[in-house]
Amino acid sequence: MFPKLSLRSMFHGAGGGNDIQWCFSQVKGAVDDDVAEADIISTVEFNHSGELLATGDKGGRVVIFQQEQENKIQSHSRGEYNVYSTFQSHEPEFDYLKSLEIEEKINKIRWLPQKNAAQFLLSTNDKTIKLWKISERDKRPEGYNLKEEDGRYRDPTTVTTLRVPVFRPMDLMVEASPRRIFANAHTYHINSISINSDYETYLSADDLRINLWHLEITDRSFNIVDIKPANMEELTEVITAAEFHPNSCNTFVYSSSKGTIRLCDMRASALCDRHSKLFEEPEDPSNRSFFSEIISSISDVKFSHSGRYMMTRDYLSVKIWDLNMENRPVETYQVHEYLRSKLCSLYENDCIFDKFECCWNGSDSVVMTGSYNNFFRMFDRNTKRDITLEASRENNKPRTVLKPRKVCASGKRKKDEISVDSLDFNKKILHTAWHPKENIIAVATTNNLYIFQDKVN
Amino acid sequence: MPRPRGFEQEAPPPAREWPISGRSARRAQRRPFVDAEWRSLAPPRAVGRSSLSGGKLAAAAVAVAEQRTRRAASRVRIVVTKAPTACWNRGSPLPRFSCGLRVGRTGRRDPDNRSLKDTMFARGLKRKCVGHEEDVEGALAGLKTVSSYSLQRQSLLDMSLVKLQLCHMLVEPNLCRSVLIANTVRQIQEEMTQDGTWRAVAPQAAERAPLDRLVSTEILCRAAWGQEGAHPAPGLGDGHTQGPVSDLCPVTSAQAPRHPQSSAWEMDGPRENRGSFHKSLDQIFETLETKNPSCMEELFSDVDSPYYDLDTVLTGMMGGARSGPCEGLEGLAPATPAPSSSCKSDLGELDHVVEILVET
Repeated sequence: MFPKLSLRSMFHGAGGGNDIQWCFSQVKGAVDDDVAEADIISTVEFNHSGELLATGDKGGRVVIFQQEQENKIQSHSRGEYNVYSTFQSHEPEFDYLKSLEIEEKINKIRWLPQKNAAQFLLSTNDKTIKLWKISERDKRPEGYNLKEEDGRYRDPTTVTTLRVPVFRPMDLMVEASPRRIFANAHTYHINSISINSDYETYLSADDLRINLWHLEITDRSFNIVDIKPANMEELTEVITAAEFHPNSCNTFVYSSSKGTIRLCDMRASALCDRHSKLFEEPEDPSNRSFFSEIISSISDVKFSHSGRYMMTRDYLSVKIWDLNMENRPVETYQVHEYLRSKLCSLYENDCIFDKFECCWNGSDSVVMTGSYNNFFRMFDRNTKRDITLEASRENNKPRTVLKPRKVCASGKRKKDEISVDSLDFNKKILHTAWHPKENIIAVATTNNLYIFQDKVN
Repeated sequence: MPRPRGFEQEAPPPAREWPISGRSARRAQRRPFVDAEWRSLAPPRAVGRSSLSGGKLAAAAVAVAEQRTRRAASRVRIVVTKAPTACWNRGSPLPRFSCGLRVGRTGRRDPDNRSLKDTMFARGLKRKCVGHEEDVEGALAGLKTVSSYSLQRQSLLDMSLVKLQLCHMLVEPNLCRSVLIANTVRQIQEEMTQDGTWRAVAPQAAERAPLDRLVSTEILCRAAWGQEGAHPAPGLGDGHTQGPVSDLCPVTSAQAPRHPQSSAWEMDGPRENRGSFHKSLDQIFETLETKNPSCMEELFSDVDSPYYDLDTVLTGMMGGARSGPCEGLEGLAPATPAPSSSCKSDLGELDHVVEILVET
């Protein structure tokens, strides 16, 4: 239950000083600045062991990286991640009835725990969820009687002897095949999928509804949350994210665009429209503005590994909630408070609607989230220290320690600081992932994937 | 059926920055954050933060044209042409108060309609109509006393309405974004109602409950939401399969790109066909006819722009080829093209097309 971490990182966590120093490890993706739209990374997810790292992009492709086995002799760094498998998960579709395109962009990937030699993952676009089986093949049968080695059929009349085909080793081949397709259950755009701790069911959430599926059954799903009003004119709130509790298979939470999180118990009723707990922080009247509601909209919700806490990300902050306390979060971290005075401009250029994700480290001691200008932030819950790092190709050499960055909100800009006005709002880090056991993080910029590790001496 | 995806690849050169999916995924060049003059808009009752830096906006109240175009060029993602205000100002001396985006004209095509004075978008875009000089002067006097907070609030409202109008024809718009923008608009409306600045335009509108006026804003979102089957369908398990709900949608969706045009047409043309329209269209027409038409006017009263077909809208090509003035935004909003007096033949054609759609 408690992942192994080095002694140093357990006690010090992230931050400056003697704590973890993050080093550049790898960067994946095209180098040139001209971003092909299909290459934009839309989701990043480690599997349960951390050996595999899956990314989804706007073009509907899934690329899986595998960590090399550590070289026991040299322990300079942990294994590198190399491409393991690439496949086209979703294709663009056209909804003829509505005359609208269905984007093939992969919104979420979730791994299933490994039960046999093959790996399984769920990937979803706006409308359809697919269960993929990724299996390795390193042997192939040879010695067929009726087929040549290249596959051509032999003339049966030329067969004079019989032999038994045998398996011979071959080059490793990784195959991805769709095992289940869960379609036609969502009228609105799917924003979340979450696998239950029973490993048999999972939920999928769109803007107004949440459905419960069984992994084996594709033609049926149960609707467990429906917040669609009878009159769409009265719609004021949508679902933005949902997740199952990591340990309780009957509990899940969903967040809304109004900054509330509802915890529901599926044992209470079939349709969980009435929440069991409602997590909402009262609004700070001194910070009230026309944008208050927009910036309170929660873009991501994640349970801690322990299941005791959950983390929510709204536009300007990260909040940690204790599941036992509904009226306010136990911790609040400001991600980029300097943007509060820029909200109108951010509204104008639509950046205020950006949906940032957040993630926990393996021991639930550090949380991480992204920001603009390719910055990402880490908050150590124990030491209350935070750090801002940048994902850029400038620190390209492996094991280069990342330098902490600082944004100067106002006043005199010190050396090495960046002023708010020179931030690049096109370069945003929306998707980040943390290895479940080690201090390895994957950070996705627009079309590049950066992998950072902590410095191992 | 051929895929219309090709629209994206057919985009003209980089000058076009029209967002396809609500987020700019195209811009490879760095776009520094240039403006620092906007403070968070705080309602008057907030303490300590009430000093809104007038900054450029205060200056804008006086000498707006250059600043608008400059800001529009540097800030706004949507292609707002750098067309000077001259092509809009038909003799009106009133300055504009906006952040660089324009929503639509306040003038109505029908000069006999007394609901011309629309203080909600009081931006000096009034056409010179006989018999309305006194309204114009009154509005002018009122405008000069408006505080910068109101200006900013007004600009925010304009901006929000523009955002709601820009429907994405190929990909469904983001529902979360639409809801948040609509809530913002409603919030502004509520506040303006409380302040008393949200004055009724038409005499009959003054008797309406505030809710009516607020509700009418929802119509703006209908183009986005109507495609999901806006009207209730309790008997259909659309949580399970999309089929039944989709059955109800085809009429709406097929008409969704057209219904604002139709409704604009409805404003001036015969209303006999209204009864046979789809329910959401029906509600729009009702709103236009009986409820506060002011904001609807703003959307649909693109009186001088000729009819923009879908291709033109999507490729963002406004300008010279058109006969009338062509500020980018009106044309970019596919919901807003309205037939002008020179397009009577278009009206007839539209009428015919809509009849066919409804009857099938």
